Amino acid sequence: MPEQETLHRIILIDDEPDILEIASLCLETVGKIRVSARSSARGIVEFIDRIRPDLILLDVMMPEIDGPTALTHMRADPRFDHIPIVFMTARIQPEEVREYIEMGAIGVVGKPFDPMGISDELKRLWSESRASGSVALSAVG
Amino acid sequence: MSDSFDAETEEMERMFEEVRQRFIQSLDERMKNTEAAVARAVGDGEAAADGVERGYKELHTFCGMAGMVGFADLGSMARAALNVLSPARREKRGLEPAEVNQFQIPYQRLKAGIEGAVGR
Repeated sequence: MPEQETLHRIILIDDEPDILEIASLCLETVGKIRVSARSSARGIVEFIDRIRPDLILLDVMMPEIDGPTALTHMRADPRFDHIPIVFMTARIQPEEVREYIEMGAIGVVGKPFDPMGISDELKRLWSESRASGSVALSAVG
Repeated sequence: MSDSFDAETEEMERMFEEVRQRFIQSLDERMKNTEAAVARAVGDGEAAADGVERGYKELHTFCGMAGMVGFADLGSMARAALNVLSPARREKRGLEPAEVNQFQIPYQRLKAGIEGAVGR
């Protein structure tokens, strides 16, 4: 299988509709990334199975199932435990970021994010994650 | 490329303006929800801890949205209020009286900031 060179498709989950709208538009328009967006992490595993994303951008603070809980669900399924996850949150103190990384996220995007820069940031995190070998190449896509 | 780029840029600007207007329209309700939550957050028990959680959530969302729609200063003010709620949220408890007083300082700053920014 030829090595995938760029980030093509992501899942974006955030309970705030305006954030979903802005982020989706920026990622698709500026980054040319296909975005499958939803407002809840409920049924996340089934959604991943259907979409097969290269990366998941996940809000930390959501009702019902928060980002860290959703991450735990994904990591418990060996089919999807390799997919890189980036958290999105307004809380980006160094100790908080360290906690998210220790949970298994490859990075954190702070809110508010730079609408014109978020695509490059995700592509950078995704590339670094692949370079470090934390992503199983054959299992993506 | 430039035609398509211009159209995409215009579309983004239009959408940002729509979201910005929706955010401005939502300010009264966001502040009302925050105040109601913090009013319940005083003291002991699950209801107080839940009040902290709800107030935190409102301000957390506010922080994220404000900066993206051109109100970075309001986002910083909301973050200062959020920081006061953080210890109680982490410890899953209600606010102590001193914390309520402490919360009022950045919160009143935020209200004044909103008044100055959008006239309400």
